[in-house]
Formats: sequence, structure tokens, C-alpha cells
Amino acid sequence: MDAARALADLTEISSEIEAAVLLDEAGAVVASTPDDAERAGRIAVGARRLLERAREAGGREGEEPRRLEAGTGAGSVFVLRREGRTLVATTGRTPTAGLVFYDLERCLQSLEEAPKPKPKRRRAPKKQADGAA
Amino acid sequence: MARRRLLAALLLAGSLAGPVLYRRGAAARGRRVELTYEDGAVVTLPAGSPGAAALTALAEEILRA
Repeated sequence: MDAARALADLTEISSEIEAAVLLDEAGAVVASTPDDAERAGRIAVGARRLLERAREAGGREGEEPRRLEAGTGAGSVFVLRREGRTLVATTGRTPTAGLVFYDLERCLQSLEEAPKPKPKRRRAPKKQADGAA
Repeated sequence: MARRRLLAALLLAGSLAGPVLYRRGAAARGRRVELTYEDGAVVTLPAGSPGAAALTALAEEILRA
């Protein structure tokens, strides 16, 4: 599935997610919703810093977490990493963390399940008319 | 008369303080940082710890973005 479509579906399915940004392995923005490049860039920078800080704070010898939830009281930030992709989402103040992560997992899964292009069918050679040649 | 006034003042103070205290409590409950690793291990950073405070501050920046 197209990344922009997947994020649009995500915010449509989950009433708790307010904004979502998909990052590639290098941390660059692939898609975001709402479609605001400046805001997506700021969220991407913040998410990268969040993951860097989590490496130190987690106490697991610098291992980066696969999932991160940071609640502020005014809202929450969720980060999910999978297969080189990172999905960041923001919610309101009382999200259901399990449901949010479930929706984020499904979103990333839908990107991995993108159908491969079907091989072109080869046309059978034209039969020559009986009277020809 | 004075008793009534005192009671009214206490009721008024209570009705004003109640929502404020409730909101503060809800905000405190919402402050949490949880990390989950590849092996399924979950690390919850205690509220008020330096790690949690740093991550919460970064999350606030993201929410303001």
C-alpha cells in the first residue's frame, strides 16, 4: 500500500491518533498526516532525539527500543520501529496505549504487505490463417 | 448567620479546588514513559526520574510541533 494512503487509513481508523509521521531508515520523512511538511519535519527531528535519549535512559547498553510511549499529561507520543521504518504518532491526553500500538503495527504491516506487481501475461503467438503462405 | 457564611465559603472553595486537583491528578497519571525492546522486555521509567523527565520534555516538544 502507498505510505500516504496507509497513514490516511490509520488516522481514519484510530480516533485517538491526531498526527502520524512515517520515517525511513535514514530518519527522513516518507509520509505524514495531516500533510504538512514543516510540521512533519519537526516531529521527525523530535522523534529521532526521543529515540536517541531513550537509548541512554533505557539502561539496555544503548539498545534502541522497538516501541516507545511518552505521556506528558497533555498528550502522548508513540513511536514504533519495524523493518527499518519508524512510525511516530501523537494522541490526546488519555490514549489507550494497547489500541494505539495495535493500529500502528497494522499500519506498518500494510506497508510490508504491498502487493508485488503481477508479471505481464505473455500473449500467445497469433495463429496464421489457413490460406496464408 | 456567620456559620452559614462559613459553610457557603467552604462549599465555594471546594467546588473551585476540586476540578483543579482532579486535573492535576489526571495529568500526573498521564505522565509515563514506557520502552519495549525486541525481546519483549518492557522498561517503565519512574515518574520524576531524570530519564523520564528528559523523554517527557522531548515528547512535549513533539506535541507542540
